[in-house]
Order: sequence, then structure tokens, then C-alpha cells
Amino acid sequence: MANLTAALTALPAFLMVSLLLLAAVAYLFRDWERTVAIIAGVYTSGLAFWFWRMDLSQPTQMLLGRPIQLVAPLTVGDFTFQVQTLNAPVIALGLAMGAAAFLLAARASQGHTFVPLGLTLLAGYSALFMAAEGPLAPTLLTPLFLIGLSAVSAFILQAGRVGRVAGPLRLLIPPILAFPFILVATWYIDQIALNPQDNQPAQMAALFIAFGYLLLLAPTPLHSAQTSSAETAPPVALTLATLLYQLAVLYMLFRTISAFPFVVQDAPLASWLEWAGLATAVWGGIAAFGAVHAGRLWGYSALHDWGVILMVLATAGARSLPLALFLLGLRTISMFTAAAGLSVLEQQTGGLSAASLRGAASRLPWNSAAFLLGGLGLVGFPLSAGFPGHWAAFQIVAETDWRQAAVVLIASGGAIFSYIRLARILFGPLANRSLLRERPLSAAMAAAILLISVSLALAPQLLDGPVSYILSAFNG
Amino acid sequence: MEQLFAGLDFFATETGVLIIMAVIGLMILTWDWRVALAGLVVVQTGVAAMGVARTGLPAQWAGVQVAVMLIAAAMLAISAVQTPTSRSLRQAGNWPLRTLAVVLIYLAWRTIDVTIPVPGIAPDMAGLFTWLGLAMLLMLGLSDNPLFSVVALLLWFIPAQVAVAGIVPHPSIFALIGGLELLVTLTASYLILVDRLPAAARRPVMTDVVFPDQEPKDWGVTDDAEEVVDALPLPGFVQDMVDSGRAARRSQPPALPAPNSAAPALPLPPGGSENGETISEQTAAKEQG
Repeated sequence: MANLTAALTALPAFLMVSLLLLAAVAYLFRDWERTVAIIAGVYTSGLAFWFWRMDLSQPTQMLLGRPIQLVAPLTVGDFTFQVQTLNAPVIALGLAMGAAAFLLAARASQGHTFVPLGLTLLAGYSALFMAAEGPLAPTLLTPLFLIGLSAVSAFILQAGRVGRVAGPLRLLIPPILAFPFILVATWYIDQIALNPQDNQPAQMAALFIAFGYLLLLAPTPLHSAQTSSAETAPPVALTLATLLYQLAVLYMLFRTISAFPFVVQDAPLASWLEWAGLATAVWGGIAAFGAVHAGRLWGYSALHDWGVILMVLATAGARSLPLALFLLGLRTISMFTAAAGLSVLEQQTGGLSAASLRGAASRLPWNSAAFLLGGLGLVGFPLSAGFPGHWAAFQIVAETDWRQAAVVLIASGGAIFSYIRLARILFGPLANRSLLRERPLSAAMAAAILLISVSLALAPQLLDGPVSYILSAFNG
Repeated sequence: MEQLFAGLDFFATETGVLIIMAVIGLMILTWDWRVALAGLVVVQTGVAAMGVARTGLPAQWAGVQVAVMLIAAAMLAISAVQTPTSRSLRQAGNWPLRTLAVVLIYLAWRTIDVTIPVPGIAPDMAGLFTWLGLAMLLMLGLSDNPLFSVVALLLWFIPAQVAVAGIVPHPSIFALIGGLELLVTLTASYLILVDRLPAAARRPVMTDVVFPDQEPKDWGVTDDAEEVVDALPLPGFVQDMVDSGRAARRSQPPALPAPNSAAPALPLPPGGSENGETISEQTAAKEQG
């Protein structure tokens, strides 16, 4: 018992056990969705703030009268988890995403099990970020963690809705495809130490790891989990599941590159990322042009944005990583802004098809505006949150090959056209006269989210501090 | 356990490899959940026996692998039998189409002669693993059906676990992968249930299966879903199984309404019936016919 109490004072144990305990309690009281969501939101935002301001040079910190060992490791089986300066910012960002999702879920239901399973996801992703040692290097075990976390995500994406299951199902595919490639690479890594003169094992290991991570990044044609889920899943749940997964893959990719530098030297990872990113951004724009369903349109816009991030990652130079993180930050803001609007639109109108949304903006103007501005931010429309990032990305890509930047710009134009078409539907004649007006609190929250989004569009330097802090984690 | 796998060592021969490859082909051709789950267990047993005989995989580990697959197959079977139709609502074309796809993939593979190099694995075994990977991709490409998708993913787990056990002989990695197999199966079992609850079934046009996202909006519920999903007859023994199940259900007397009460007529959604008949009316007409 004393050992257990001592173990629980280690920060990794405190974080994971408290999140899982809260998840268990939230599951018991899952019918009280709003209350549970608010409590979870307040708790995770408190944790996020604590991690953000944490000074790891002090070994101990008092929390509610109990000492917490900040840098003490936690050993479970063959795995060791530890909070370090390299992972604390990423854990804080993940918790902040969770807090935003839970607070938005208090406005519009995301399914009875969203909060408990969302807290479980946060515990799982925190464990992945904190993994310091394992039977293999933790970066090589990333796909195995992601298989388990994607399986949990599938439940919150389906949310008990009867019907199409393609999105949650396809979420499982990239990590399951990727894990053998990355684990096989360990054999070649062992060979490098046995025969340092021979370069072939390093090349083979680099190829396997690079290909495995390319699969994990889920570019086109492995993208369909995101776009299918955008049509059927609760919007806030999809935002949380997608952003946590993408944050984890990007972070673990950089930890892998930091641990095994030969991955970028001996494999054409940059070239693969460049072409995969281009295909993803272009397909996202083209498909968005043809999408009438609001959820699908949002999903394809997010895909376009993801493609731009991959292209920026492929660009050589010191500016690419900060810009990629800047884009990730703006993506987070834009996706949550759009999800805030979409979730209320879906709840009030009963669906996200064009027929359901006809004229809905006359009754739900603030939430409609949040959806449109968030969606436009994902395709880099001027005066939206995504514009500064996309503009900088086009410039950096155009320095290498202006034709690629032009193609992506045209593709984003297709998505913008689709948003204009949807805006005409939303602000057109009202089809459902019994549609209720948005409540003042809901409208106020949507207005606040819009204000944040517009502020970042007008003053993107507001993100400089957070991006610099997260950059320290990514740079290793 | 050693004795069990010693008795199965014929799987390590060339004939054994051919048997496993044929079972995989059969799973795709028949596209029936019973055949798929049985095939999954056979493939797992065969590959595990091959691993014991050829790569030095400990028999206990192989036994655990087979046990995990048996549990996974049982979980999927429990979900499958709870669904209203015995066959998928998102059928992957008909069996001639699937036969052509399997033959095409096999010929393309033999022509290009690509084999994924796996350290510590003999070339013929690596060839089998490549075929398993191709079959997995084909199954994923043929349908969005959760049962067959997870069967495909479990097929991918089988060679991966044997290869990883040889490369990283660490019990915790082996146990972790086994646990993840069960978690993925649990997720898929849930998705099978929500996918197959009374949702939709109508005769798809042959070309529409290529574009599964373009489902007609007027899909309606029929209780003859399994009669209409395939446009062409199934292979003999599968057709027999389907027919016997169907005959057994028809032999049960329909639930009669109480005397002097109206028949419980379930209205079909638009498009479920062209002439506006209800399910009970259709059933009654069929009984009389």
C-alpha cells in the first residue's frame, strides 16, 4: 500500500490515474452529459495550465497538500514513463485540446460516452508522450500505441449512431498497416551496431521507418477515415480524435528523427512527404469543391490543410518546423471553431445535409458564422485564422517549386467556392419554420470563439509564444 | 503444445503453404462470414505451425497466438449472429467478380515477382506473407463491411506477429500485439452491430458496388436482404448453407395477429417497395405464392 501511495506521487502516475478515475466516474454519470462535460473540461484545462507553467527544475511540487514528484519515473512492466522538458509542452497542448472539446460538448451533445472515452484517450496519448523507455525505443512502438488509441477513438466517433461505420473503421487501418514496417526496422538498427562499416542496414532501417511513418501520417489515399467520419461523427469528437492523433504522429516522427538521424539521410522521406502532401492538399480541394454535405466539406477542408502541413514539413530549411507547428496551431483553432458551429447546427437541424441546413443561418447566425469562418480558415481564406499560415506556406513552397504552390492555391479556391455555395444555402430562405433560435449562451460562446479566430487572423504573432514553447519539445 | 504443433508440421511444407494460400483465396471468393472466420483460424494455425517448424517460434507463443485468434473469431461470430441478415449489406460484388480480382492480383504478383524481404524468414514463407498482405489489401478494397475489414486486418496481424516474434523476441511486445488484436476485434464487433442493425438493403446495381459512397437515398428495409444482395448464384456449398438457413426461417409460422385486430403492418421507407406494399403484405403474398 505504501509502495502504491509512493508510486502515485510520481507525476506520470498522478496524471494517468486521475484521468482514468475521472473517466470511470464520468462513465457512471454519463447521462448527465452537460455536468460531466463541464467538470471534465475544467479539470483538464487546469491540468493543461499546470503543465504549461510547470517548472521541472524543481523536483517536487505541492498539489492539494500532497507532494508530487515532477520528474520521478513510473515503471509499469517493461515501460517507463517520465515527464521531461521535451514532452511537457506537448502534454499540455493535448490536455488543452481535450479541455476545449469537453467545454464545447457541454453546448451540444457528442454522445453519452464522449467524455469518459475522451478522458481515456487523453490518458493514453499522455502515456505515449511520456514513454521514456520500453522493450524497444518508444518511438518505434508508436504504431502499437496508436492502434489502441484509434480503437478507442472509433467508439467516440461512432457515438452509438446506427448507420455507416466507414470512418471509425478506416481509422484503424494506417497504424495497423504501419506497425510491422517499423518493428522490422529494429532488426536493421541492431545490425548497424554490429557492423558500423556497412551502410546497408542503416538504409534499410531508414526506408522501413520512413515508410511506416508515411503510413501513420495518413495522406491521400489513406485519408478517408477523416472525411468519412466528418460526415457521420459528432464534430467535436472528430476534432479531438483527429487533432490528438496528428499531434502524436508529428511529435513521435520528430522524436524518431532526433533519435535516428539516418532516417532523413538514408531515406527519401522529404520527397515522399512532398508528393504525399501535394496529393493530399490537391485532393482535399478538389473533393471539397464537389461536396455539398457540410460535414464532408469540413472534412475535405481539413484534409487540404493537412496536405499543406505535410508539404511544409518536406521543405528543407530552418523555417519549416516552426511554420508546420504554427500551421498546426492555426489548424487547431480553425477546426474547433468550425466544430463549435457544426455541432450546434447538427443538433438543432437534425443533420448536416444541404436540405437540413437550408436557411438555418436566419435562426442560428453565430454558429453558422463560426462554422463558415472555421472552415474557411482550414483552406487559408483571407481574414480567417488559417490565412497567415497558408500564405507563409505558399511562399515557402513556391521558393522550391512555384507550380506546386499554384496547384495548391487553385485547389484551395475550389474549397472556398464550396463554402460560398454553402453560405448561400445557410443564409437562403428558411426551409424548416419550426427551427429554434440559438440560445443566448450558445450564441455568446460562438461569438467568443469567432473573436479568438479573428484575433489570430489579424494578429498571428499572438501564437509566437506558444509555438516557440512547443518548438522546444519538437527540436529535441 | 509442442506435440500439437508437431502434428501440424505439414503446414511447413510446400503443400501446407499452398493450402494456406488457397484458404485465403476461398475466404475472398465466398465472402461469407462463416467461411471467413473459419479461414482466419485455419490461416493462423497454419502460419503459427510454420513459424514453430521453420523460424524457431516457441510453441507456447504460437499456442497463445492461435488462442487469441480463436477468441477474436468467437467475438466476431457473436456479433455476426446477432445481426438481422446473415450476409453483409455492403456486399463486395458477386463471386465471379471476386474470382477475377483474386486471379488478377495473383497473376500480377507472380508476374512482377515481388516479395517483401523479412529478416530471418525463408523466401517461400516471405512469399506467403506477401500473398497475405495482398489478400488483406484486396479485402479492404472490396468492401466497407466491418466484419470483412477486420478479418483483413487480422490477416495482416498473423504474419506480422510471427515476423516480429523472430526479430524482437520480447514477451511483452508479443503480449501487447495479442492484446491489441483483441481490442481491434472488440471495436469491430461493436461496429458490426451498429452497421448491421436494420438499416438498408436493396438490390445494388452491379456497377454501383464500385462507388459505395453513392448509395441511393431511398434504400429501404426488406426482410429478404440476403436474397437480393448477390446478383449471381454463390458457389454450391455456400448456397446450400444460405438456402438451408432461409428454409429453416420460412418453416417457422409467421407471428399471427390477435383475433379481430389489424395486422401489424410495418411501413416501408420510400423506395423499399415500388408499389407501396408493407413488409407484412409482401410476406403474406409470398406465403400464398
